[in-house]
Amino acid sequence: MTAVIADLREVVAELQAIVGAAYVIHRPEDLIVFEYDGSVDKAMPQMVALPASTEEASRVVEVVGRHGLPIVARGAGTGLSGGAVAEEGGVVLALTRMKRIIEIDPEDQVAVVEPGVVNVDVSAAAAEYGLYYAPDPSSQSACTIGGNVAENSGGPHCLAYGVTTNHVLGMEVVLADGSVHWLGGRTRETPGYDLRGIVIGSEGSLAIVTKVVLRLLRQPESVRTLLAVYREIDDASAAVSGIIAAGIVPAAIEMMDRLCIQAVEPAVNAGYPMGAGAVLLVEVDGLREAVEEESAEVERICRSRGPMEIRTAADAGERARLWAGRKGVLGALGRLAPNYYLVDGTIPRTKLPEALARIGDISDEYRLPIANLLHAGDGNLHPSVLFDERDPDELDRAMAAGGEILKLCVDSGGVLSGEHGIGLEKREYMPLMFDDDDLNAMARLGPAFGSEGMLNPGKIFPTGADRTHVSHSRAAAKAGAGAYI
Amino acid sequence: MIDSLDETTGRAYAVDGVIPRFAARPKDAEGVRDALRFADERGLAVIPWGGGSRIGLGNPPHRFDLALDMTGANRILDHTPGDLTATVEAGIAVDALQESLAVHGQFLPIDPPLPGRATLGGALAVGTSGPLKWQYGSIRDTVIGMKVVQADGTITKSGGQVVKNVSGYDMSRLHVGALGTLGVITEVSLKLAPRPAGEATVLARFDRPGPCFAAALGMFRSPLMPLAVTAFDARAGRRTGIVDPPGAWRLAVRLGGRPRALDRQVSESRAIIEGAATAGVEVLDAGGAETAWRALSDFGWDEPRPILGIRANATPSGMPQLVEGIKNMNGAGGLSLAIAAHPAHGTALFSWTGEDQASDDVAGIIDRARGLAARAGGCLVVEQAALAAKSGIDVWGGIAGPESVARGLKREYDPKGILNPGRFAGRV
Amino acid sequence: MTPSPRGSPAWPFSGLDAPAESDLYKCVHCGFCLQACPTYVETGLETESPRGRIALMKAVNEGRVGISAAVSGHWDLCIQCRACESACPSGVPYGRLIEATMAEVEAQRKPSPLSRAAANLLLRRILPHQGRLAMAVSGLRLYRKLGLQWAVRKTRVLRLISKSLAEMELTAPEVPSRAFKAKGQIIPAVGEQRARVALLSGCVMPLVHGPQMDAVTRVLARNGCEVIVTAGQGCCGAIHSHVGDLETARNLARRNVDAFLGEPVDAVVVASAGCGSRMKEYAHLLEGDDEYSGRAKRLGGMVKDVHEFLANLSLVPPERALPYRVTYQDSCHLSHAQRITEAPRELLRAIPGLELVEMADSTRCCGAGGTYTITQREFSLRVLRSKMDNVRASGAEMLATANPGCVLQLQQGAAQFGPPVEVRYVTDLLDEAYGPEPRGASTSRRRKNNKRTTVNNNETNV
Repeated sequence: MTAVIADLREVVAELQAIVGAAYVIHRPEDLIVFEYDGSVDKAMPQMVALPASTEEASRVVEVVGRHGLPIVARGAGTGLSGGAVAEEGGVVLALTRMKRIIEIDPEDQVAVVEPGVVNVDVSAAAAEYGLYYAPDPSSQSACTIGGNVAENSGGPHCLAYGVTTNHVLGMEVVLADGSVHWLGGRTRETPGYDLRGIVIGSEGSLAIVTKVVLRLLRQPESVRTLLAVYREIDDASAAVSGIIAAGIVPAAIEMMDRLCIQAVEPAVNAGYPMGAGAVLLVEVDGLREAVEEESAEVERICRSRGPMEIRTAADAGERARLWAGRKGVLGALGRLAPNYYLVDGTIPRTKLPEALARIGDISDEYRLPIANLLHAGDGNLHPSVLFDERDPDELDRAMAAGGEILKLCVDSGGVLSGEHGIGLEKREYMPLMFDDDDLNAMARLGPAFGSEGMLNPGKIFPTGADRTHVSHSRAAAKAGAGAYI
Repeated sequence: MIDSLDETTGRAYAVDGVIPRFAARPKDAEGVRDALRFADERGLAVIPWGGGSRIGLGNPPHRFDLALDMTGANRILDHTPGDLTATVEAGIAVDALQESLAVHGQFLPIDPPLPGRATLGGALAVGTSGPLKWQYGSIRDTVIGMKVVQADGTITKSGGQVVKNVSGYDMSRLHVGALGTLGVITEVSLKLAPRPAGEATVLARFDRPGPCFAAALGMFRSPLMPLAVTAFDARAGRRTGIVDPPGAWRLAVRLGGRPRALDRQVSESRAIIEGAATAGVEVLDAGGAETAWRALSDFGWDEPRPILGIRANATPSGMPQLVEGIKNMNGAGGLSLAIAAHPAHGTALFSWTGEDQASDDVAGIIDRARGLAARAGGCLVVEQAALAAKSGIDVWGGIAGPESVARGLKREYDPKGILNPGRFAGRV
Repeated sequence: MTPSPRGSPAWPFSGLDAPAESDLYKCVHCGFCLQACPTYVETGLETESPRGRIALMKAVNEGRVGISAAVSGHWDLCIQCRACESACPSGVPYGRLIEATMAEVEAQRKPSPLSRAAANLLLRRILPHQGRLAMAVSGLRLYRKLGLQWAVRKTRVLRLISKSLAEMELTAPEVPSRAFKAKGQIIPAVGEQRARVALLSGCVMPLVHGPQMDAVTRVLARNGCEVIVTAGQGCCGAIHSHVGDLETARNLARRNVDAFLGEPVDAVVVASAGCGSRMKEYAHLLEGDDEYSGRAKRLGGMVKDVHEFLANLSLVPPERALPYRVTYQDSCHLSHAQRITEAPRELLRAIPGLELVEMADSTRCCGAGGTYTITQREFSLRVLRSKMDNVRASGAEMLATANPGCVLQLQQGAAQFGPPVEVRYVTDLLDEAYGPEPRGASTSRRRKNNKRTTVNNNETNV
């Protein structure tokens, strides 16, 4: 025990020499604030280092590796699957000081940024050239590009524009041995294995990203946002299918059910009718004429499903108000119950009506209300199981209901996670989707990258524990009221 | 079922002159598994064969014993139009897949060369596609799930059949563009696109390449959303049936959309082109457009095959300089060069035809072109060359990025080195 | 199990004012607050973020860690701008949490008797009493001239007194001859009377910006308000809450409840954003006080920020053109605590000839934060420097804001970091636009002040 402590002191001193004393955090009372991310899981790292440059990051990785401690890369800590939680201790490498936008190149429409740059700041910097960065996770005002790369983040507008991996041309990385390399670059094609594509979405387990080349898009000339209100959620689902079947891929199709509306409308005043069974928010963007033609078609399809009301945002203010409702839903769920468990899974979009019906059954079965918020256009479900953790039975039922929903997703031909990642949260569910051979194939990436057991160990792969009853219950005992995300 | 081959029957599967002793044409993933187990047990080197349209791409094989003909596993397993997704076996020819999807007004937004022969699996293994990538992105972005048979015969799957998925590693990325060196792609789930409501192709002529590229980049920086924009010289033009005087350049702009949006894109494209000193601009009829785009997709792989075919990449703004540089290189005296480029995507194809050249001369061309590409911040792949010219070089230009990882992947996924040995970057 | 921190005394919240668990556990650590927080943005450190500060509150509450200097240091660094509240999707009442936490810290800090006496002197004996505050400011000048500064550098709080008063002096107009006083005076409405309002005089603002308080009364009068500067009112208690002295804050709140509810008025108008937000939340402050809680709630409902009030009243359009290019800094206690961002801009846009240009991050704190500018000098200046960079980039020649602390801080920023913009209250600009008083005098005075800021600042740095 003493030897370990002496060792840690040595590591602290070495890291301090690299990044400066102020940027090595090792007092236990300070480490408390690095035990969480946006998810429910918690664990204290042994220390935190905050490098200011690639060179510092590389030296930190080298030193920590030499001492045999694991490294957990961390951006803003907004992740929802425990990706930045140092479950096995070790050193958290927080990249929040590396937040320079190195370059916006309007000629080639790329941005070169450090990993700590906040998602929304890229678009802000690109705006003067009429460009923007398309992936827009809900946490975009806080989450970092490095974290987006690690999780292959999506967002409402990914329906038309794709997720992070479709927008990263190249990146500079530090491998587990501290060496620095470029994967991909500024060109759109690079021969050789697509290591860039492998590292994106690898949840920090293969390499530490220190610079990213992002593809920027031209801001759409025109945007139209339409709200369609339905008495029954089935009509809303049918409208979604109708839109896709008509060969229209809008920028976003978001759906909120009755419970969501009841939670958010009093809080945000978005103008969603309180008595509605579901609202659809459809956004079409692009060339003015295309937007006019497509939004007319979208409106026609929405009308054919017998809506209570259809409204098009007349101006930017009204558009913002409609979106404020969508963005405010999760925060407002607290009005309906003390806690919610937000589930993330994807199903084929044609299975939407059955899946929602089945979620209704699960809600009945477990005697807990479930509020459905969906990126309906791409089948990405976010059902939130509402419960009160002070009742241990309710907590167990909520966790079990969440598990049922994930099974439902997989059984419908869908997947465990659409955009939050596996991390700690869902690793025990991985066998629902993948057999041992599949998982073994994935597990060989670690040795190939030389990162096995060193970079973010313990994530993604199942440990064999019973997730439902062990981890969540333990976490809940500490987490208190609010969200179980 | 493994067939033994002789000199004659084996010649059909030869790669860079190496003739295999065995061939297998499995019907499904299990068949692929059996063939690979057969090879694995005997340490036989395997080259997966699609339609063979681009089979010569790559370094000459170190060894080649078994041709794994994938064209037998060619079923469409699922196509749910409402989901805009499909799951197919990798041996399906690209055209056959497109025809089936077209019935539902959908398509897979890729346009690799020779789609009548090329299989989906082959196109994915090569990893590059045609002009449509301007709008629809890389071929790898169309893959949402994959079933791969590993070198030892283990069948593994990754991804899923939905368009948004972050469940586990994005393993399909490992295999797209890997030339079958890490596993054999046998099934693929795909993200489809609705066919544009209408299409139009604007074709412009220029006296010099400068204004042609200026117009192409003008398109890139405008609010227009063309499906494809391809610049090509007079020699390339002849393959599309366009007869121009030497020195002339053409720009083809493929546009899609609903009627009013399409009209506006046509007129604004014309305006951009006219602002760039064009020598004339026209809108092609449907038949003309189809012929032109097919020829441009096939460019470099159509007959007669070139003595030397190069694909070079650079940034969009670096394109004009790279193309000018390679065009004006010395030392290709006896050969005639044809060029087609997708400027916004940063890709240019150079195709030298003519009498067989001394391999030293060809090597010299490659060397100088590679230098120019590097100077433009890009890279270069020799897609076609005579065996003698290929033997002394790495057609991929070596391993870009960390060599330890490239070799580590090969070690982990093909420890015995039986899949396409020696043919990929760094001769892994 | 999470390892328990070594050697920290188990010293959980215990006092009357401990943060409420129901508030604390609303935080689901989603991190949406991070980029709103000026101290996080400056440092990139989770320890200096709202989420981190709440995590530490939870840790103390759960007995995992005591209130050590290291822990409270992270709370001390909070400017209490409450920008995190605007960003929070879960509605965590951070302002309430940090205030309660600071009260706990103060209760447990066990300061030296000398510094406690000094804190008492400033917070309980001087600030609540306008006359004494005025005397202190002028007295301080004399005392500085006598070179006795060394005497007050003994303790943190003593430094706080000396420096805070010095800061006020830096940019203060002639004091106390031009101070604004609350003595029950009534300013009649100009033209038809549309409302009858009471005006909070406050403590610091009337003293250091007396003429600007006069301007507020004129603007209200021009808008048809009869203005009563209620006698018996006093300091709102915001500063006291800020540093955790809730006891004095409650006493001050009671005094104001008594004073303002004694007059039949349509609204109690407050010109200082910090005071307005404090008074709107009197109900929470006096929650446990049976005698006052109901009335505190009533007063809270009557309190209107002056910009909010004028915008709702529909402003009498000013006629005089002011050819200024102005950018508006959202005072935190207006934008975040009171969620008022549009009203001041609406007023500025109503001024003919005035060009309103937006700067980047206008809702980000300038670093003033009550006593923050004194207690966290270095950090306050870091935040201020970033703010001034944004001001420069906006191209504005004038900076308008809505709170005396912000005005003083931004004046210092203009002098120390540039650009040399003039810093004005929105109401002051409105007053100028209404005329007819010649404004030449006031402009030259401000210029003189800026110059003096620089001089004084040099002195402080010696």
